[in-house]
Amino acid sequence: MKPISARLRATVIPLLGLLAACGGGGGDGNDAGTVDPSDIRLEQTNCAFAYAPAAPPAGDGADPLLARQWHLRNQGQAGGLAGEDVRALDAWSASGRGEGVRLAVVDDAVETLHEDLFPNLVAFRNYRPDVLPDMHPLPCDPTDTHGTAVAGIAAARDGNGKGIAGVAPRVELAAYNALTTSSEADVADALRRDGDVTAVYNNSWGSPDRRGTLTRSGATFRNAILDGTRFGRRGLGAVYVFPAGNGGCTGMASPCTPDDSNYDGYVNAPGVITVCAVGIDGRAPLYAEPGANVLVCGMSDTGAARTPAITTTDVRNAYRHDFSGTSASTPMVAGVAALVLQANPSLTWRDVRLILATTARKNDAGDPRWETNQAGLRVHPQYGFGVVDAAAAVERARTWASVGGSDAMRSCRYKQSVERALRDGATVSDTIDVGADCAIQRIEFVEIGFSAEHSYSGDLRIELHRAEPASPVTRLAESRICRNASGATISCGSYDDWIFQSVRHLDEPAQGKWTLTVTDGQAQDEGTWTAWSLTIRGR
Amino acid sequence: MRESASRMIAVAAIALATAQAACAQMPPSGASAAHGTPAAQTAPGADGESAAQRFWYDGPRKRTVRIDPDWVADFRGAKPSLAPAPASPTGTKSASLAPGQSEVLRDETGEPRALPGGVIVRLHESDVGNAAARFAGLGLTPLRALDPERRTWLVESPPGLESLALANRLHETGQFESATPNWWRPRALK
Repeated sequence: MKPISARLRATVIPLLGLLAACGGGGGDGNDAGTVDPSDIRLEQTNCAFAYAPAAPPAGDGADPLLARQWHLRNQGQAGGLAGEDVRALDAWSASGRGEGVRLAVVDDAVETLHEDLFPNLVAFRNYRPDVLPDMHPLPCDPTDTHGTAVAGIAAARDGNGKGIAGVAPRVELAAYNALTTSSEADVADALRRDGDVTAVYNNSWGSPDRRGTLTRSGATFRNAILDGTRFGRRGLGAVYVFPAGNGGCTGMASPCTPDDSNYDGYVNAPGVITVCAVGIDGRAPLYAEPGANVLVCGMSDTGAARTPAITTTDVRNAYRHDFSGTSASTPMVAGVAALVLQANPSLTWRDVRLILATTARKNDAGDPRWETNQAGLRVHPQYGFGVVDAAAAVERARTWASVGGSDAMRSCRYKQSVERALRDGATVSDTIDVGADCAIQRIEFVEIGFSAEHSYSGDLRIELHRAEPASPVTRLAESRICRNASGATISCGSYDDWIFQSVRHLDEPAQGKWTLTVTDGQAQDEGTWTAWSLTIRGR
Repeated sequence: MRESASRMIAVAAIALATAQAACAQMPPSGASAAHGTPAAQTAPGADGESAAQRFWYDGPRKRTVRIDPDWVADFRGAKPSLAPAPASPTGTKSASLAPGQSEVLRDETGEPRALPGGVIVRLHESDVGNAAARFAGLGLTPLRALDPERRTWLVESPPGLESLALANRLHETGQFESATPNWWRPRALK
């Protein structure tokens, strides 16, 4: 450890800021591609934990907790349904294990000195304002456990005789504790850090759940994602993975407002892979949110008490068996994305999305909400295209012909002014007829912009329809009463060009009629639907 | 992470000793009296309400927030924290903030935001090679680029409403594609 005095710290931090300003983004922190085990810098002044400033000892041999990681290969060892897993072990036997692919965990603190994380660690950045950026972003209070658990699921080292294995257990791990400050600048910085070499950014966070409110992500966030997909990885584009959320209310005592991932601005950003969760029973957890933006699922707990959750790394060089929510399923998908890119490093961010979606496994096959879109793909409001299948995705990646990156993506945008009164109980609609001017033959995703003036926006149920030929109806918003954490009624936010993302029309042709229907499903408040837009992206 | 059905972990709000304490001190989102009269949608009427309203630019869009006089945000520690605003001897909330503190503002849904300092500016694409001159011409101190293309920058400003005002001034000059405050916002671990 190299402790620094408060005076020195006060001098050095602004200097580092100036150096970063002169050198461009991502210039501070440790981002050289290696972590020097002989120079481990810690700040422990405001830290409840004492860390030894030394690398953990290396090891080899089988991972003792691997058998408990049913999400990697489920043979019924934890109960539930055998085969409900992400097929990671099958992918390893067919490919590498993530070697040469960098995966960044953007979260709160990460125990980078953990025995099962340090071997894969190549970069980190500490955003805490009271320490230098090149100090390890270690947890410093007992609640600071999330990032360490997330990192282990994606990137814990295999074959070191310790603990567990991540889904991509030889990936190059980067750890950024941007949520420690949760400022727009630090989050944007982390989402673009080491952009030339970072392939996958895992983000197991988002908007607050169970409120039903429209929560905007903000232009700074959206620009970071857009630029990352366009310029990241030297033009191939970074892969951004986010959770759908845990805002479902099944089994909850009232009041509880069921959330929908389409109310969360972070996962409506174009380019984001939105991840759902499936329990060991192969079904949606009690907390599952639906959403037209949900692409694929990973595994997690069922939401019920005393059912198996996820085994992963824990703070203080420990392991835990209770990690849950879409925070757990998201790094599984991020890990699979890393395996895909290791199998074929020339793939773009669009390729990765397409491969994950089209190789996903159809879980819970008996659920009646599975529907078939115009392209013949099965899609579900809570499962997207199903559970990610690492083995199938890696196999597909090897022979995949790239569709290109951001610059090769086609877009067709239509905007329509509408003056429709929104009256209690009534439904109104408007249609955009996409003609031959739009050359997209295979849709990748669509964005629906919606504007209305309404004294309670939660009244509105919004659906997207395609009739010729028929395609599943896409529910974008449900009528609801929004509530704060205390259960009090609050505004649901405003529809001021709110953007919904939908992936449900994957591989359909763009041409044809697209109809948006709006129903004022609750009494008391009325308004006017003023405009909507449809942006279709694909090839 | 889904710890329990009723517990949402709002990150970064929290420089408190325990998670329980953090939840206890987390200011609630602005509640409305009843469906149909949500507070955040009520037009400003009284002078106090108007004075509490502010706007900012989210990219090209102008958005409204209102100051919550009952809470302050503190950015001086290892993590941001929110605390009830101190009351004056007369029982009213104090408007004075210590250095490193910010007013708490709420958006239309009542979610809190605060201003730890700094403004995020995004250069016009044609200006990327001219950043230093652009900043110097406006008297700005760049702190760091936020992207490898060096198009998005954090520039210096004090915490609190001063940074909101600076962001709006910079945006309205037209010399940047956008200028937004470096908001602190709670983000939920999932």
